[in-house]
Amino acid sequence: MPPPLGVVVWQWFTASRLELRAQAFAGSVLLLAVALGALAAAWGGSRLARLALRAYSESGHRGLRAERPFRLLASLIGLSFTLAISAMAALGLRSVSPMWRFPAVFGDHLELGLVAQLAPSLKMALGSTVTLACSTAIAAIALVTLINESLIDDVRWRTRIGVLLFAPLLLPQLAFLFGLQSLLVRLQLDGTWAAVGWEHTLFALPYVWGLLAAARAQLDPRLIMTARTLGAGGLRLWWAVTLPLLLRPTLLAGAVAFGVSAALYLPTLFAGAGRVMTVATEATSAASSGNLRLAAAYGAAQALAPLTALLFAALIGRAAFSGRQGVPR
Amino acid sequence: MSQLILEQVTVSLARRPLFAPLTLVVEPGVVLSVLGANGAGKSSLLAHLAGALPPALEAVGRVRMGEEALDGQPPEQRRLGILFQDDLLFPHLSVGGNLSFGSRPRGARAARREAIAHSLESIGLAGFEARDPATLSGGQRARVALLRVLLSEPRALLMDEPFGQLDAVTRAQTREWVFGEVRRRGLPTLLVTHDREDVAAAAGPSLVLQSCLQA
Repeated sequence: MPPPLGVVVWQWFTASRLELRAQAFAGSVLLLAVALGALAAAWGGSRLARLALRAYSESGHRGLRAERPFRLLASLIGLSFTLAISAMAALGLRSVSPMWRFPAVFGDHLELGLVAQLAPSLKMALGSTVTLACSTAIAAIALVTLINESLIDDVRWRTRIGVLLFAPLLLPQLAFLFGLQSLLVRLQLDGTWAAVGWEHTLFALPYVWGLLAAARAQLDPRLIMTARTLGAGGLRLWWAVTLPLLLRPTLLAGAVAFGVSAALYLPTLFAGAGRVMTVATEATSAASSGNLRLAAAYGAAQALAPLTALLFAALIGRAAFSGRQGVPR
Repeated sequence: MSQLILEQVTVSLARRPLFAPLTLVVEPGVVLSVLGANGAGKSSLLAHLAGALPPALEAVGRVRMGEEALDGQPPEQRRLGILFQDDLLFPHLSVGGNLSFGSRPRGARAARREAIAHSLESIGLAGFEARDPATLSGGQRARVALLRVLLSEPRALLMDEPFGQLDAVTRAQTREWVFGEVRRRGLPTLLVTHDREDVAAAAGPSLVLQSCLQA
């Protein structure tokens, strides 16, 4: 099998023969066309699915036997989740086992030496990852909240902004990143922390928008109106009513943004011009170095960061308003 | 005590008025009942008076509280109380928190707390300050909701089918208490309702909004 188009274009871009550059740009345009075609196909598919679903729901079938496939699906999801968790545990274990040959269930012995040796650089990479991820979460939430509160009644603009924010996910990453990169270089911002943070925020925004805009739209407008007639306007309205009622989705969105930022590799490498080192960039270079223990240690750290953020979000969300049954979950 | 005055007020959707222009004066302590078919624009009228008309709708005419023009003022400055069919208590606040949310900051903290305790006692809910609103019965919630509005010291009251969720017995009791408070405090009140018994108990004038769209 030949490599996929994205990889080939990437190779053309990084090739030393400059005449391949034009080919690479043409390849990016082709990638874009493929992505747009896929979007159109998805849209068409959804229309077809809608027709089929409508026919089914109007057919009067009771669907009593639908339970079994759903249960099967649920157990499959549970299985893949268990696999992911055990893979993480294995990564952790691998990083402290110097010898672990194929048929053995466990490594020969455990040794903390490498992890201790790695500690300073791991700590530095973790530090920059956490700083970037926190700034990304805060920036994305602040931006989406601003849009939410100023455009809550304007459905048309909300839809437009939603489509725009999803661009980094829908467009081929390569084309999108090269476009951004040429902008950053022109502004002489490449290699700065601000550039990396901005790019991370761009990639976190669609998720934060998806979670927060939907939750905000579901808030009963009469609750807000009641609060206003009771004399709460502006910041007080947001602080005392809107934010508390949206606290759980906001925390979840923050944790997801944190996770997105912690996982980003290419945007970090591009915008950081290779100078900003995070767990993601270190894990990738460790993985290609062939040192399994090193790769395992970074991999475990990269998996733990978003999990910790999610755990915090869940704990805070549960602790706040614990005695209030009516607060939306 | 001032009157609530509407002059040539109407609300329109896509440039088409929902009802013929209204001109009326609600005297202090009087409940004016507003009837009309679904879609005649009753709730939109209340939203306009409160200053929170959805952007798809447009309103014309003048609204005054005594001499003061309300048009253009945001809801938080109008000091008009509003009550809906649902009590809309803030779910994240305790009963006491809901009551103090709109109460005007005045005097020491302890004095305010005492005033709230006293007012809870007056509606038969003494000692309910720390309760979660979700654990109250429908009638209790309705009373807390009205108390919250009254504590914000509104200059007039707007009610959109406020008794619709209550059972017959609770409805009669709540109604009697609400209208009693309206009279005692001299609040000009607009009551949107479908219920003839509401109109009778309000013992005030009534008008029927005629929809322009169906005519």
